[in-house]
Amino acid sequence: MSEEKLTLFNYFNDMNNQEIILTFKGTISQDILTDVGISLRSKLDSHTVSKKTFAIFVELAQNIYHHSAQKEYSAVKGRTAGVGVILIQNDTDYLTLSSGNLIEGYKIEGLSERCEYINKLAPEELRDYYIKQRRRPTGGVGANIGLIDMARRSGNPLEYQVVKIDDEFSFFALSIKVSKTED
Amino acid sequence: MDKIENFYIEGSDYIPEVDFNAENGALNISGESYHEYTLEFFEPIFDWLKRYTTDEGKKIELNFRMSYFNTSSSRRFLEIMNLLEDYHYNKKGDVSINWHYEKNDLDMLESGEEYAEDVRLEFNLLPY
Repeated sequence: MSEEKLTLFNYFNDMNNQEIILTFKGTISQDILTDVGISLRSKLDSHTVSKKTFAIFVELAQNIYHHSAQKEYSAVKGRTAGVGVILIQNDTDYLTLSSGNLIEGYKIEGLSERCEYINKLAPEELRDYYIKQRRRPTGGVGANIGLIDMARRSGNPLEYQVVKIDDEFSFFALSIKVSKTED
Repeated sequence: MDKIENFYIEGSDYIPEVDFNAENGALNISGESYHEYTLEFFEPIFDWLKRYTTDEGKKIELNFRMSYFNTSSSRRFLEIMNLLEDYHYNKKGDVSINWHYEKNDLDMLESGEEYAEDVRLEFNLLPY
């Protein structure tokens, strides 16, 4: 067996051991998102849980798509899109969605502060914060409310990790849990 | 002023069906909405709405019947409501909003409640 195949086998085993049900690296196209939605519905018994999970997946994927510092040209679309990695782990009691992508170093502080701030808010406060932020003009592609939306849907904190690569770039990893028991 | 045509976009997995009737003022948006280029997708919709609200005094009923939408669409929906709110108060419009939601979908009900709180228009939450 070649070195390469052996590595892939280990990779596959690791994913199995960590209960990873889905992983994707690259630019996540619209069609892939739709397929993920269908796949989640078939893998999860609860409609509510699969809807929540899908909604969070979409926000993570579109964050990468629009904000990753690493871009790739898509010949199909005729434009560039952000590259990153997303995975979903399926544990006994909850699902964990994680995403990672390159980010410009100067953005780290603001983004970390936003996560910390969101994590401090109670559900009612998050609701008000969401409504307030949605009203503010952004001028950008997104709505600046993706993080709040994910925190609200999951009911759990946004866990993040920053790995500095060099003076210009860092790797930003975000992870969110969704409970499998319905409220 | 030229007669305004009806406006229609066929829905897909990730874009909603948009069905605007210029004759009777029934503006329907339904399905799912998570287009990756939301701004571009909604541009013709806003263009049409701006033309449609040039003349004063129309009766408009905006109907949402969504099963899922991303945060970017959420903002666009608010912008549509704000545009019609402006029409209602400043151009003698008669605008109401109906938010249809699947009766077990509490998240969708909550989304409707949040818009209702944010927009000063007649706003009906209707389970189906």
